[in-house]
Amino acid sequence: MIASLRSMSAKRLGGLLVLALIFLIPAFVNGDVLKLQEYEYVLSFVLVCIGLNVVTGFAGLLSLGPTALFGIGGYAAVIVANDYPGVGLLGMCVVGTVAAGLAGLIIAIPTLRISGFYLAISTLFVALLVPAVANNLSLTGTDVGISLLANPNFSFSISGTGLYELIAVIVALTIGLSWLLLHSRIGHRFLTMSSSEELAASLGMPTYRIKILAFVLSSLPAGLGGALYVYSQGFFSPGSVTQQITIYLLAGCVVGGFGTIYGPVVGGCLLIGLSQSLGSVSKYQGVIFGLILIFFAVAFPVGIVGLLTGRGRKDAQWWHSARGMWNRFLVWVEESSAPRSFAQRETRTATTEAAAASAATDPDTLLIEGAEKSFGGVRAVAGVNLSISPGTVHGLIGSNGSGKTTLLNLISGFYRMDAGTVTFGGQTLSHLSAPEIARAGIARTFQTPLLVRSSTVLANVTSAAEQAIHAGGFASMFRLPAARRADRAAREVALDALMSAGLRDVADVRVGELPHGLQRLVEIARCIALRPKVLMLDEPGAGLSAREIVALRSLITEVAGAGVGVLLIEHNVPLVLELADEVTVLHQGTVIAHGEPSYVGSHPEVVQSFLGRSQATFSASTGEQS
Amino acid sequence: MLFANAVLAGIAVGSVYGLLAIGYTVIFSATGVFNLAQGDLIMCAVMLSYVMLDLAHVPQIVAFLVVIVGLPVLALIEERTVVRPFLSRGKYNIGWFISTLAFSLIVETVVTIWYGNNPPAAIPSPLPSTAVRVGGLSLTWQQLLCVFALVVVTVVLDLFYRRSWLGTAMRATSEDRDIASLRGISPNRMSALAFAISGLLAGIAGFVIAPILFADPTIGLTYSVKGFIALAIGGFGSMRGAIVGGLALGIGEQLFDLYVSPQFEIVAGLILLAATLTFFPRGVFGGRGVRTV
Repeated sequence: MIASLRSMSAKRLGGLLVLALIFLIPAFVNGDVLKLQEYEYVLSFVLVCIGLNVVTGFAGLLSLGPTALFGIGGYAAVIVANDYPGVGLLGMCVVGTVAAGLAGLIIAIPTLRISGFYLAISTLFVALLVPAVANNLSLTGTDVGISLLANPNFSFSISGTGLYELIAVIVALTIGLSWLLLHSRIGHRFLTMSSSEELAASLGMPTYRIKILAFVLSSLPAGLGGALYVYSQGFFSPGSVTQQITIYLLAGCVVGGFGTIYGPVVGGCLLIGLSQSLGSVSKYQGVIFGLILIFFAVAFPVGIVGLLTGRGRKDAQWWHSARGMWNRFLVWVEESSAPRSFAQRETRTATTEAAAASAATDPDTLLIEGAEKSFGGVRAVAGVNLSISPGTVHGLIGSNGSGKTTLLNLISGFYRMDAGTVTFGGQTLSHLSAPEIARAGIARTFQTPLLVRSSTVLANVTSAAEQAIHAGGFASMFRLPAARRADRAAREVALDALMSAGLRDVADVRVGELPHGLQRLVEIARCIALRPKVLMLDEPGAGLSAREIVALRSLITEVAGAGVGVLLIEHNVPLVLELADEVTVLHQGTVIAHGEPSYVGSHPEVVQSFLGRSQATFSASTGEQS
Repeated sequence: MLFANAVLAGIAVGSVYGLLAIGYTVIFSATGVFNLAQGDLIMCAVMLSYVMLDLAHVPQIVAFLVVIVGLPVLALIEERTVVRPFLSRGKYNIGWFISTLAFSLIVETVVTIWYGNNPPAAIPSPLPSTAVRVGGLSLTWQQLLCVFALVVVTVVLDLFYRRSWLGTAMRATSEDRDIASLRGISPNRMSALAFAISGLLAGIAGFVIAPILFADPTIGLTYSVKGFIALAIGGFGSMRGAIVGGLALGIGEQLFDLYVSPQFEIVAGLILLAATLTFFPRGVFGGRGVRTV
C-alpha cells in the first residue's frame, strides 16, 4: 500500500487528497443536515467551475457568465420537477443538462461566428438576463422562485448523507470525464487551438466547430449543477443566480488555476465555501472576492494548483489565449472599419474558372496563377505565378518584404487573394478556408514557430498525426477499441516523424524547454506527421546551428524523395540553390527570375539585387557547397 | 402617435446609451482595453447625484460640478489600480479583462453596502417637470436634456480630437501605440487621459439620467453589457457606430416596452443583439469606411 502510494506522482496524490476530503465531509458535520446542505450547495457550483475550466482553461475561450447555463439548467429542472413530480432526481439531472447544452449551442453558434469576445460578453449578458426575466415570469415563479418543498406531490427519495455522497460521486465522475476529455483527441485539439488559432487552422482543425463544441461541453456540467442545486436546496429563484455568484465562480477558477484538472475544484470549493461561511462580514464579500480576483490576476494567473504543479508563476495558458482572442478581435475591428473594394472580387471569380481548366492537365501539381494581394496602397504580391510539382523542391528567395510570406499565407488560406487562383488535385483552393486547404494536403510551417509550449514534443506532433488518422473525438475520449487503435497508430506516425527529424531523443521534453533551432525541426516533424502532399517551409533554416542545418537538409531531401512537393522559403541562398530543383526570385511582389538553380544563381539581376556580392565570389561559394 | 412618442423616449434613453458607448470607444481606441466597469461608472454618477441632491441638498449646478469632477477621479483610480499594471506588461496584456470586472464588483458592493436595502429613491430634476408638447408628441425637459448632452458631447469631443494637440496625440496612439511613443507621446498618459474623459462622459450621462432612473446601486453591470450591445449594433471603434448603436438600443427598448412588456425590457437587447449578429455581423457601420475615433 505504502509502496504503491510512493510510486504515484505527487500531482495524482494531491488530487486524491482533494477527492478524499470532499467524500469525508459528512464525517465532520456529525449528521447536521443543514450543514450538509451547504456543502451540497458548494458542490453544485463546483460542477459549474469544472465546466468553465473546459471552455476557458482547456480551449482558451473566455466565458464571463458561468451562471447563465447554471440558471437555465436549474430553472428547467425545477419547472419540470414541479409539474411532473415523478421525474425524480435522475430525470431532473437529464433535463437540466440537456437544457443547458441546448442553450449553450444557441449562444455559441452566432457569437463565435464573430469573435470569442462576443461569446464572453454574451454569456455575461445571459447571466444577467436569466434572473431578470425569471423575476417577472410566472412560469419561473417570479421573485420567490419555485420551491419543491412546497409541492406535496414531490418526494425527495434521497437526502442527508446519502444525497451528499451521491453529489460527491457525480463531482468525482465529472472530474474524471474532464480528465478523459483533456487527454483525448478533443482535448489535444482544444490545447492546440488555445495556444494558437492559426496553428490549429494550419493543421486542418475546424476551429469554429471546435469552439462551439468546447462551449457546449462546458454547459453540460453547469446545467447538471443547476439540477443538483434544485434537488439539494429544494428550490430555485432569481437569488440563486445573482451576478455576484457569476463573478465568484470566475474567481474560483482563477484562484484554483484554469487549465489544471483540480484547479477549478479547489478554487470553487474555497471561494464558494468562503462565501457561505463569512458570517458577519458576508456583506463585504464582494470587496473581498474582488480583491482576491485582482490579486491573482496580477500576481498568480496560473492559480494555486498551477503553482503547486510547477507551471511557473506566469505561464498561464488561458491568459495567453485570451490575449490571442483579443488581438484577433482588434484586427477584426480594424478590418470592419477599412473600406473594402468590390471590383477586385469580380476579377477573381473570372480568373478562377480559367485556372481550373488549365490545372486539370497536371492534378498533383500545386499551381498558383496571377496571385494578387494589396495591403492598403501596397501591392505585397502582384501577379505571381508559381508551381510546385510532387517530389521536387521549389526554392523561393527574395529580400525582406518581397512578398514571400504573404504568398505563403495566400496559398494556405490565411489571407484572401485579391485576384488569382490556387489549384491542386483538380480542385480550386483559393476560395477555401485555411483548415480546408490544410486538409487538402497542403502543410506549412511558420516563420516564428507556433507550438504548444507547455506540451511535450511528442504531444505536439501527435496532435497533427491525429488529424491524418481519423477517429471519433468522443470515441477517443472514452477509449473505445477502434479509437484506441487509431490513437496508437497516430502515436506511431508521430514517433516516425520525430525519428526522421532526428528528434526521437527529445520526444518527452516540453517544447518550451527546447532550443530555438530544435523547435523549428519540431514544426517540420509536425507537418510530416500530417502526411501532406505539399509542404511549405517558411525560413526553416533561420537561427539553426550548423549541425541543425545538416539535419534540416537531409530531412528536406527525404521528404521530397517521398513524393512530397516542397516550397522552401529561405534566406540561406546557398542552401536553397543546393536543395532546390527550381528557384523563383521575388522582388517587391513580382517574380524577377525563375528557373533552375544554376540559372537563377548566375542571373545578373538576382546576384546584384539580392545576394549583395559580385557574381564571381558568389559562384565560388556555391561551388564549394556542391 | 404612441409609436412616435416611444421613438422619442427611445432617443432620450438611447442618448445615454450613446454616451456610455462613446465612453467605451474613447478608452478602447486609446488603450485597446474594453472597460467592463464602464456601467458602474454611470451607476456611481447616478448615486453621487443622489447624495448631492437628496442628502446634501446642494444646488443642481453644484451637484453637476461635483459629479463631473468626481467621476474622472474615480475612473483615474480605476486606470491606475486595475488597468495600468496590465498595460505596462506588454502589448494588449489581457489581465484587465478580469480586473475591470473585479473592480466593477468591488464598486458595486461598496455602494450597495452604503445604500443599504432601501428601494430606489427619486432624484430631483433641475428642469420643470412639465412636458414639451409639439402636436401629439411629448417629451419631458429632462429627456430633452439627455439628447442635448449627447449632442454637446459629440461636438466637443469631435473638436477635441481634431483640433487640440492632446486629441491628435490620442488619435496617433490609437493608430499605432509604438510609433506614437517613439514620437514622445507617453502611452501611460494617453491611457490616463482616455479614462479621465471616459469618466467625464459617465458623469454627464449619470447626471442627466439620474432623475429618470432613480438611485439604484445594482444597475452597473447591466449598463456595461448594454454598452457592449450598443457597440455591437453600431460597430466597434467609431464614434458614429457608438451613437447609432446607443440610439437603436434605446428606441428598441422603448418600442419593446410599448408593444410587449416593460417588465422584460432586457429581452429587447437580446433581440437586437441576435438580429445584429444575423444581419450585420460587423455592426451597422462596419465595413463602410468609418475611421477609428
